[in-house]
Amino acid sequence: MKNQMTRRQLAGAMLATAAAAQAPPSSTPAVPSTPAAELQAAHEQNQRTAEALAKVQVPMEAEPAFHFTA
Amino acid sequence: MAELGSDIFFAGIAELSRMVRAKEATAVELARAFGKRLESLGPRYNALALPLTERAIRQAKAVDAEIKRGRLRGPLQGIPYGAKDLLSVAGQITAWGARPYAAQVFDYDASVIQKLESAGAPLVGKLAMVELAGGPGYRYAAASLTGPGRNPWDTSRWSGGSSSGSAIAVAAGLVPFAIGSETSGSILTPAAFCGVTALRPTYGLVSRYGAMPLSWTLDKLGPFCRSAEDCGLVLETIAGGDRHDPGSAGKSFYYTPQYARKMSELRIGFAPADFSEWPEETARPAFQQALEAIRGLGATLVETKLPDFPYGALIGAIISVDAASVFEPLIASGQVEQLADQKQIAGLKAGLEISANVYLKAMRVRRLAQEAMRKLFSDVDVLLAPARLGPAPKIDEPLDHRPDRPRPKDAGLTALIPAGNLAGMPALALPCGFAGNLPVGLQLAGAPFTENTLLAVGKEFQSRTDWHKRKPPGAA
Repeated sequence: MKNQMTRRQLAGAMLATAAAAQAPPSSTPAVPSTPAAELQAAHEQNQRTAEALAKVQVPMEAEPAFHFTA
Repeated sequence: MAELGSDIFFAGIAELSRMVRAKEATAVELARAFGKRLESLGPRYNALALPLTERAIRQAKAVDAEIKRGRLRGPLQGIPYGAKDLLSVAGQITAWGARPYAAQVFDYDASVIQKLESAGAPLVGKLAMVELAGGPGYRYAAASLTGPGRNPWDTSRWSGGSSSGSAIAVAAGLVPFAIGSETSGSILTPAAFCGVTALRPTYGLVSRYGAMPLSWTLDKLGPFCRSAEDCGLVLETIAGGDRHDPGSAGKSFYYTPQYARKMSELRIGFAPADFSEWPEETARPAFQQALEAIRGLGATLVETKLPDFPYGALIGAIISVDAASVFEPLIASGQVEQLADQKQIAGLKAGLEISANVYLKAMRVRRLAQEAMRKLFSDVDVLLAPARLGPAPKIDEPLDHRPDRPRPKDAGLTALIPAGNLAGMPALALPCGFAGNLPVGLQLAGAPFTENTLLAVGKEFQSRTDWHKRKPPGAA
């Protein structure tokens, strides 16, 4: 099992996130006024999260940062 | 024995310990005095979840009997403390700050409660917290069973959260030290807003057995104190391996200021924009003076920046999914609607629908971020930044809708709280000045298991400044 990234892999992944980080900040939306609007806002936030993560390239051998001991 | 003076309420652990050993105060007297003060002033700040004064006095009687027999345990023997209400205490209500759990009782003590009991520290009260430690996010300071945490420096301002009661109780002299928790910012934020010293330990150093889970790979427990030195004493007591905690690192911690590296050997990374551009206008002078004070310690300050990752998205995805899984029965039962904060209710529900693909992507990118942070610490020993960029907000202000300000071009270390938590790094919050009448604080973050280095820098900083000794006007 190999968990260490090579410098090249790490640099590639970090460059990929630079584009995501440089996106202009969206203006602050209004405070949701109903539970339904709040839920919709939460779903939209999750969508933005998924989109931000999708922009990051991950080397195939990168394992999730779980801790498991047999 | 002479009656205890009011000076004891702001005394450090070493001084209180000296008084106990010199028989200038008994453990019972300290437990009674702090318990009474916590019960009378705690509600003023919405800091108290459950008074335990009588229980503490019973503990203290046993401690006094031990001391009388000449059995001395350590610096916390006879020193009262408070614990965030996410820690179980056998037979007592543990409400997690949330209405659906208002009657919850466990039949066992959390590991940190056990360790502190073994050290002879009487527990005088459970301290208030943001409901479910903030879960996947909340909008208002009022997101708590006990109401909004009120800042002892100005009760119209928020204490910060989610360890609100822990920070308030130390700031107002209601307890000598307190235990809080952090998943992402819940120790550093209230410490900064209330002007107290607090330590977020390395992930896995302190057992979380008996603590409410929020995010299994992020949750940490740590001390709120009057000084860096006190944080070292408390951490030494509560750290250590625990087979009951799957995340336990199996390591102990020994506070060894005598072996601290010389300041002149340390490289401290910082970003100028964090001190000159990012802070709110009123807080800039304090942060800039604090930066100069750190420079004056003799360490080498080097400009640095965080590796470029979407830290907010990473930690948001992980906490949302973990919290939704932990509280899935609460959501399914409909009792989630009893929570005080609509944003938190919605966040928990929506967290159930985040795909496994997104979660695993977040955890894989986290691995890259952790590796990049490790490389950063080959160049610097400590990272330095404001703990929060300004003083405490008003208590009724939406926390996620603060006024837009132009964003500086240089991101600096503004993402250090999520980055540090994602990488399991320790961090120390230090009071460093005021913006108006409200305190502001620094954070020092280090590589995993470098608590002694952070505490050494904090101790040196506090030997040259007196921000940590200031008392809120209403509580003095």
